[in-house]
Amino acid sequence: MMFAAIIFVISMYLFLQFFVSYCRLQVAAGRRVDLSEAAREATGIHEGQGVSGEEFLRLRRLVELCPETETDTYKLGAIRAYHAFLGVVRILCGPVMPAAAAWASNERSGCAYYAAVALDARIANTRRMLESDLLA
Amino acid sequence: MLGPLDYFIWILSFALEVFVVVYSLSRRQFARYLTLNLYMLGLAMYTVGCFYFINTYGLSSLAYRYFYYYFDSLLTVLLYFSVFGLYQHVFEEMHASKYVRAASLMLLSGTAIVSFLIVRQSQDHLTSRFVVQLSQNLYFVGLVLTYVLWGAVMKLRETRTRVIQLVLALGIHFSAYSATYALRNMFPDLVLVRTVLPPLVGTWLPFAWACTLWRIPEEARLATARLAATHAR
Repeated sequence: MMFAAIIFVISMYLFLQFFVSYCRLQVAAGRRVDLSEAAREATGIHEGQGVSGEEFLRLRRLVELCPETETDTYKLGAIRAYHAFLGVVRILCGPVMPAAAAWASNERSGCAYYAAVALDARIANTRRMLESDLLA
Repeated sequence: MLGPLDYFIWILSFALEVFVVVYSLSRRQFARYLTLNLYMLGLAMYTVGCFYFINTYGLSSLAYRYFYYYFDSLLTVLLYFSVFGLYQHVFEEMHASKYVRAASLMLLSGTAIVSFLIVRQSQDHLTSRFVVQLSQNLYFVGLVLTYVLWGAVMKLRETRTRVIQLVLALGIHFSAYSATYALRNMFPDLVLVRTVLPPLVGTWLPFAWACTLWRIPEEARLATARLAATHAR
């Protein structure tokens, strides 16, 4: 019982480490993508302008309006969990560790941008589907 | 009794496992990621085997339980080889493959000896509680190996996005399974860890690897310094 409890605590700690790193990888990859004009119009994000982390839920709702692409649902779910986790970090660390709170805010804005990139991909996918329907 | 959601997760897992192997073959990457592909093949066989045992003997039969846990333990050992395959990718430029091979053989021998001793000592009571403990320990060893590998990735400043993503997905898989089995060991009757978490966690690795191989090109690069969980900007 004791051994299982130790394994559980260590596993959960390492799970969090791997999960945060995995999500940071996705967010970092998302940051490298430029939004298309259509996505900028839909989201109201202008070129060179940052996205607030608070925009995440609004962008996610927009994403949900478009038909799913093959693999983004699982990843968006992970980013959503990451965004919520960062919200907890920001609240807990805000008063005592401002640097960690600032990092969490920065990452949350990355999550919002990731949602905008996912929306962009879904808009492009929907366009392709419509075009193939029209051609058929 | 299995519901539609169980069947959906099952079919999805199987499709993803086959996808990884077929995609690697079609892109001539099967040999490059040999151990990963062999594990995915084993996992696909396991999925089919589970389906056969449930259909033939039933979900609550002893035959299914034994197949489920013991084949899973064998697959975990097979997954160790995938971890060592990733070690070889990470240490590729250092030409340390012979050391990695030696370490993997030592670990495999060690695991075999310890497992044999445990099984011999417990052969009068090879119950499902025993296999849960065995699985918990095997996953935990895998987790430690993956964590060491992740440390090497960070230390050597590995930049290949594909390798980084494969390692992280493996870390999530091992840690989630290890935590699930530990929780199950502590609370054997908890429904969440008996029926809900294992299939979800089981789908994660084929999904993450399929996404990585499909979406991330071999030449994609990323600075690892941006990824450390403890790194604050």
